[in-house]
Amino acid sequence: MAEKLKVATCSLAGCFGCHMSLLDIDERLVDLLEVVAFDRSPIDDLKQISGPVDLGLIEGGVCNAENVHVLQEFRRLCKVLVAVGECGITGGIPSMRNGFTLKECLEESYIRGVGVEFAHIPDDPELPLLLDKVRPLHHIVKIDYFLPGCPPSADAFWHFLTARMAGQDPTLPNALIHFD
Amino acid sequence: MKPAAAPSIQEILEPILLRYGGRPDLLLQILIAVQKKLSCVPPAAIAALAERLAIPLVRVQGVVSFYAFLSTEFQGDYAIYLSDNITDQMLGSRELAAHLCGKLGVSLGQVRADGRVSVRFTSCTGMCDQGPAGLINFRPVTRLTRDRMERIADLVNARVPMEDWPGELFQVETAMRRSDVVFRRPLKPGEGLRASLERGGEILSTWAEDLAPSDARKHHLERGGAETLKEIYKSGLRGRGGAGFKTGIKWQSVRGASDPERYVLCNADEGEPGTFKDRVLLTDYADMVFEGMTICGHAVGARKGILYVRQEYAYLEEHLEGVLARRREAGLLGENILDSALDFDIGIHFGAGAYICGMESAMIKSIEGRRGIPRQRWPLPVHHGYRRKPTVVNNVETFAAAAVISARGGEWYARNGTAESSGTKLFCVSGDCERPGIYEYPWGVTVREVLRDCGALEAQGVQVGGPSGTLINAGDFDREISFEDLSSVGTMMVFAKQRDLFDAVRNYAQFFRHESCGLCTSCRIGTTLLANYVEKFAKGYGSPVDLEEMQGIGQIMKTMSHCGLGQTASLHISDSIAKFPSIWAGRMRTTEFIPAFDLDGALAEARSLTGRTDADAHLPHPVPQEA
Amino acid sequence: MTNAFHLDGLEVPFQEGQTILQAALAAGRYIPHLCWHPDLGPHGSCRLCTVVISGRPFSSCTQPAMKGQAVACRTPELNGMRKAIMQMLFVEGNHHCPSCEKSGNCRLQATAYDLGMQDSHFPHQFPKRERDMSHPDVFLDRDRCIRCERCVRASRIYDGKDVFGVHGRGMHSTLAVNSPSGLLADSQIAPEDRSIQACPTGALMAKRVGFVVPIGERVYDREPISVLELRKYAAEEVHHG
Ligand SMILES: Cc1cc2nc3c(=O)[nH]c(=O)nc-3n(C[C@H](O)[C@H](O)[C@H](O)COP(=O)(O)O)c2cc1C
Ligand code: SF4
Ligand code: SF4
Ligand code: FES
Repeated sequence: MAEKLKVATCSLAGCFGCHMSLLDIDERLVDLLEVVAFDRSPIDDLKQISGPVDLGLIEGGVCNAENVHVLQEFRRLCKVLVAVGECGITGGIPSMRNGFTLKECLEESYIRGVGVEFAHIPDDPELPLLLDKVRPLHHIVKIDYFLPGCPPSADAFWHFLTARMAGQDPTLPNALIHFD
Repeated sequence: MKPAAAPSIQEILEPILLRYGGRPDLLLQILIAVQKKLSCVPPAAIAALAERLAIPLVRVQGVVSFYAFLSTEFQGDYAIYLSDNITDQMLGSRELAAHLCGKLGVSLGQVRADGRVSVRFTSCTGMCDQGPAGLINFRPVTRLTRDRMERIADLVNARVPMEDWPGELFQVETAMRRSDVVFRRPLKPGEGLRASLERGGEILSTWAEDLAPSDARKHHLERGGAETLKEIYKSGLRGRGGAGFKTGIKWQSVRGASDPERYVLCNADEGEPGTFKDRVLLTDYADMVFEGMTICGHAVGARKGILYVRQEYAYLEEHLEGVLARRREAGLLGENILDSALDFDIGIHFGAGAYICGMESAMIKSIEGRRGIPRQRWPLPVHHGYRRKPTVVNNVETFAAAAVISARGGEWYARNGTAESSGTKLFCVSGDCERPGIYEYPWGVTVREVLRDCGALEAQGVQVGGPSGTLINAGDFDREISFEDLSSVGTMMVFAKQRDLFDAVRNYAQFFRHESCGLCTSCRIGTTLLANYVEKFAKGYGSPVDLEEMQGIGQIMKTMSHCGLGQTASLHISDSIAKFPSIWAGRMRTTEFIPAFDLDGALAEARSLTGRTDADAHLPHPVPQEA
Repeated sequence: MTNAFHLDGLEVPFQEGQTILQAALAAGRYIPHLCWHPDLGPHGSCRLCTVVISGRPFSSCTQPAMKGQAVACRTPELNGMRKAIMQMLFVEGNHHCPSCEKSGNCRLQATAYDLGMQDSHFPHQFPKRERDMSHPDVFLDRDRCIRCERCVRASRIYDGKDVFGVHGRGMHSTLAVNSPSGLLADSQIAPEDRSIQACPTGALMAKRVGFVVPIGERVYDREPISVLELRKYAAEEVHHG
């Protein structure tokens, strides 16, 4: 049997919706697992990439320091890196905070917010520090492919993955392109 | 005695409205007058003007916000604008600006707390041969030095009225360093016009015997105009404003129009950085320019001409009006010019800080009191120009040449220059050379000859034709300036060996971003993206990936943009990558993709909000740092 | 003999006075366009409709059709540049399609699909722009405005109101509202105005109409814009005779 395609996935500033959509390919998932082996992914709950992989799928934009580290590691270890979903491609809904300063955002949540009890901006070193703006992935590393959609449809995932594995151009047909 | 109450907006507007006849199409001229009076166009004035001129409020606001020299916010009793062309920078303008700001206690781009003064940069003011230059309350100051800056600061601090400032601060030179066949023997007022009218023959000659005198005069006029047009054709004259369109064909289109109401517009916007020939022509040879316009009126059958002058040259208003008055008195302008049936007069309009207004259809909109947004390509101004009437638009230098051609003949003119570029051309030489200024050469002169004559022995490159033109290196110095080879509005900014040409490229990229009118997608966004990429290199974050991106964006701008601004606004990038690759390579410290922003810097706000300083509160610098 | 030109090698008949874009659409040939509107005429600003004639680019919405011309339109180069133009428009503003009331009915979005745009490619500018929610029935979200001025023209030509204009220059140009406060609430706009219908994006919309059609049944869920436009245009041609 041919070597399986090693795939790693992760969600940065995303909602896991893209991952849910990937699982939505339903029974085709069985076929997929015949040819694909998941490395780090919320699907198998591995927290670290074990080594170089063939394909990295990243959902979500970059909102904090940890996101930057993970993204850079993915870029280092994935032969091909794919930005998945609106947040990964444009920053998406989380980037709606870019119209405000970080101070305004944090004060709204932790100082002035409804029901706030200990008015205090969290400063625990365990927490990743927020970037001034939420950014799409291609602002930080080179991205090889983009799978648009909020989330991309299961068919879009399927089209992309099967074309990739067959060594064909994985560009989506227009009918599969959606931004919502 | 009680101090007089400050005049109300109405009291300020009344005389201005009176002067401009309350004409809505003169909105821009009215706004300029208000700006000069109040150092701003306050919202109350905008509202009052909208009402008085019966135009939508949103449109008046749109015009104010379009032009760089109009502002709703008070600019101070002394509004100081410093020319920010690369040639000014090379003469130390940035340091001088800082010095001036220090002396005045004002930050760049802001009005001092007491409202006395503001200092900001503006696009090239057209004084590149005598920079660093600037404008103070729209009067030009040149050859700025630390000493002059200090004097200016003292005058401002002592609140000396502008009228009492020493005149030498405002001295503008118009040195013609080299003249050729045209300017060695400039025309006397009326010389070209007389020749044009004489081409009509004797008014009451044999062919006119059966005609009423008034018809005979008309025939005389038409015949003369037709003959003069033939001379223009014969001369091979091509426009000096950049595009090099055949002047004869343009005039013929208007002459042949069915609509008898026609206009002649002279383009003195001269916004191309590094260009100042039109200023010199309007200062020392205004008669020739007006004469060319009048001859054009004769040739195309127009009765009215407008000279559109950039605000930076508004200090010439009195002089220009004086020349016009003299010409009227001498029968060279007005009704029955030189006792013929020719009626023609000229008015002057001013711009208010917008490079795009040199683009002919944007200029027409500006003259009509609108935002200077280019019109659709069709119909052309020769069919639908000013007031939707057939209109000739020519450059200042083109009209001056037309006057010479009328006086001395098309054949004589065509004897100079090259096959496709006849006659002579004025060159504006600035930058690193011993003798900056205006040079007249026949077309076809090589770059090397010009460099030799102006004393630029150490040149590594020349920006030919301004930022929208061509950047060349020493390998191109034997090329000819002509429409066949290196076409140019005549601008040559010289860069000596020790210069870092990146500074020039950066200056141009910022210029275009500032001047894009914003109509079309490719130019509006492309100029911004390009300027951002250049800044990325300036910060040391550039990589080959970015160079490729810039070339791609440049290609899109060139192909997709509506007008010449967007179509040429990326050339300095592609030229510099091709001709001076080291200015880019020297700024790349990796071949990898690098973010355009400082990752660690993007955490600074969060660090200050949380007070964190631990290791995880930082991100490593994306660029390998030098040891 | 009929007047005709060649569009990507195929003959397109035209009537005197038609632009290349008009003639092409009438002949059932789609050329991408955003700022042009059949009832509002050309604006020449979006540049999507750019075609190449004898090596020179022209916007087909403004260029008169001429006999015998060879017009290149759907070439890989031009389609690539059109896609780039779309990407520029997306990074210039803040287009959060998943939360936009116009999504699925949006010409900007549908045109992007039609040009195969899968990413925004360029760096997002994340501009800060004013949103106008002042009016009870209409809103203006400038984050989504591409300054095509279709609303400006429609308001002037059809609504007779001059509700809109443009302020500023270059990247700083913004859509402005004609009212003493600069707000929609003080303007003469009404929810049934043509200006609102003319907006090709989610920038100018009537309130409470978003999200009423479920995903999958919205205008461009059902049909790509290139197909729909041609059908609409053909129907109008018949209608107008
Ligand atoms: C962005 C832009 C700026 C221009 N600026 C000027 C200018 O300052 N002066 C000028 O004569 N022509 C300028 N032009 C060229 C004019 O559009 C027009 O071609 C010219 O005035 C015609 O006159 P000519 O045939 O005598 O050259 C400019 C064109 C563009 C696209
Ligand atoms: S190319 Fe630039 S300056 Fe010219 S119309 Fe377009 S946006 Fe305006
Ligand atoms: S509001 Fe809509 S119609 Fe008006 S300019 Fe913006 S995108 Fe165009
Ligand atoms: S449709 Fe032609 S430029 Fe927009």
